[in-house]
Amino acid sequence: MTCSFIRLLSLKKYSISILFFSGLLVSFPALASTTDISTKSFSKQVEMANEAKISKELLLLITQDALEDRLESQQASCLLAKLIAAQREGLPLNVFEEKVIEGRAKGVSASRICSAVNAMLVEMQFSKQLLHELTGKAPDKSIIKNMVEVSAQGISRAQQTAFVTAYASRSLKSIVEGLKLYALLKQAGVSFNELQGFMRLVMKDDATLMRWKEVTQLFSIVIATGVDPDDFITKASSAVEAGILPNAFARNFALQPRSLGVTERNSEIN
Amino acid sequence: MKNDTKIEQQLRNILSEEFIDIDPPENFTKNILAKLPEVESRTSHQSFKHICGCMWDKITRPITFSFSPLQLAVVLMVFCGSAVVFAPLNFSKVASRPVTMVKQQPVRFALYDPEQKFSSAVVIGSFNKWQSRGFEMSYDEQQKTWILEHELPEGDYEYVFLVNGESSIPDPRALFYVQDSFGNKNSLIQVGGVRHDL
Amino acid sequence: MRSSNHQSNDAVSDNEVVVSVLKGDTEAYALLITKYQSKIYSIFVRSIRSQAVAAELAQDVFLKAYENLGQYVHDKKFSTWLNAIAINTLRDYWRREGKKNFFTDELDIEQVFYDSSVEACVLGRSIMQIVHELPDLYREALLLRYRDDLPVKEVADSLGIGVSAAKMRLKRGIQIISNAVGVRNEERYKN
Repeated sequence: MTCSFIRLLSLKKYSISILFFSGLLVSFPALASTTDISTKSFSKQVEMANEAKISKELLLLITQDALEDRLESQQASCLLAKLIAAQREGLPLNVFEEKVIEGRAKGVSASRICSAVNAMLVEMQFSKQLLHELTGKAPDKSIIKNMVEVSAQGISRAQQTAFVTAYASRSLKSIVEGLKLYALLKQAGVSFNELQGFMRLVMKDDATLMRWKEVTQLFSIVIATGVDPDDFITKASSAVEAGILPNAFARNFALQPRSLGVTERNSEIN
Repeated sequence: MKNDTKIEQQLRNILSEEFIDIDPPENFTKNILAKLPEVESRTSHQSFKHICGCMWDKITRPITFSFSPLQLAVVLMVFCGSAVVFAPLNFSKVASRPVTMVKQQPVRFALYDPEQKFSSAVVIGSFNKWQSRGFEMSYDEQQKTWILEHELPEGDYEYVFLVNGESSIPDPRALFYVQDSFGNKNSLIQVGGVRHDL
Repeated sequence: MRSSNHQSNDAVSDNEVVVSVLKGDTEAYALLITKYQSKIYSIFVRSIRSQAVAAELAQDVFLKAYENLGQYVHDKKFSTWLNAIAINTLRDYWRREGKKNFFTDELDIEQVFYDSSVEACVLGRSIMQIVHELPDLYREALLLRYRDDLPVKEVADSLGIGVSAAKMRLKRGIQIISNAVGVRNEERYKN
């Protein structure tokens, strides 16, 4: 795949040649006369995918893989079919495109990439419908994208449903941000009751949520120092109630930037 | 050859029997000759021709994927179209090119490998379109750790370490993860925000 | 697809062709391309999966050689000089791909020995498969020495390294293979 990128990169200065070639192409379809069924369906799919505005970069990768026998035409068709379906349903295509690229980079087989893309498609359809039904608002692509991330972070459909139901009156953006925070804190080992309590506090208004959604970053440092997740969240809850800002709250733990494993060249505080 | 050890003799036999050179695609010589007059002023223009040449070879070779004129048209259309659309993008530098609007933050990736079992380690993730170029880690003998320091725009990113050029493993030190839909986990890094303001 | 014989005693020597090309007979270069294309293309095919990329890089080798033909010194064989360009091109390719280790001078011999020998036992792999799994530089060195029957000096020149480095590489290559094969034979005797 990298080589395809190199190839693409090497093209950038030569739009004139490209235009020339594009011109040639216009006359090519007229030449098509003898095509067997399987290849015809594949080429048709490529055309459809192209019309469906699937990224040229990805289309190129898929067709090139098929050409170079790295991808069976059946798998290539599967991928294209899923991408076309995603586009038709107004789902965020870039999520799927990135997943294909990720799979290739990791050396995942084409059939598994295809089933992963399919699973994401199903998950997205569910989230889209859920948000629409429970809040009465139509989610845009960025909201749906975030919902897929939330489910990949380990939030089940039941948990999604419960959360959306509880905060149905809020904006979709707040719901998704809240769910994301919920998912990560759950991953970090915060127990159910503590988590519910904390979420109720931060979901109070958008400003509080936006301020405290960064608590996960503090969390990753604090946990490394051996603090109990529930203790941490209890203290965080008190800080939210007292109107203390996350930065000031962090200092209570004497957090050292270095302990993040992230270089903090701009750090002023010891 | 008289002095060859047994293994050397075996190698001679096996290599000359099994490692036979194979012929390049049909129009190989023709393609090169077509480019020769331009050699004086060689530019990357030729890369484009190379590609089309290679694609053409690939397409016209009888043993490979059968290809109709329609398909050819489609493939070339996609190919050339993508060249136009993606011309301004430099994928390898997605994360490192200057971003004027978004604040870049220093990030340090580390993979502990006390016995240096891995021969290489690279960070691939959503910040570099899962491409390894420019994100190679280097081994620090003292810390016995593979390390990469880089700057990333603020945001949440998924990533894994690609070791030995083939296996991907999540960051064992990362607290948060995301299921990658292929049955494994990606680690999650949050760049910017409170941790950088400390 | 067997290659044309590139070690034949041709009526016209490579050097004579080079002189003609340098005098402006571009067409004569075709003789050199046809003679060495399989050898050069195969170096890339053995290392890179994609045939299209291999073909592209092999073409680059011939274009680079043409471009630098003036610098070719006639006391070396043309094939040796061309081979060194190919090896360099392959090295650059892997460097660009960020996979230096696919193509390394430094080889952890125990690591390779361990991997190949164990796998050889378990999967019954042949010497050929072990050779396939060697890092590119080792495999190419062995091929030049034991298949193409080149003297060590020419192996060194073809790889763009010194004679002692070439000797070392051949020695290590042999060692890896004999270790792997030795272990397999021992296993066989046990059974």
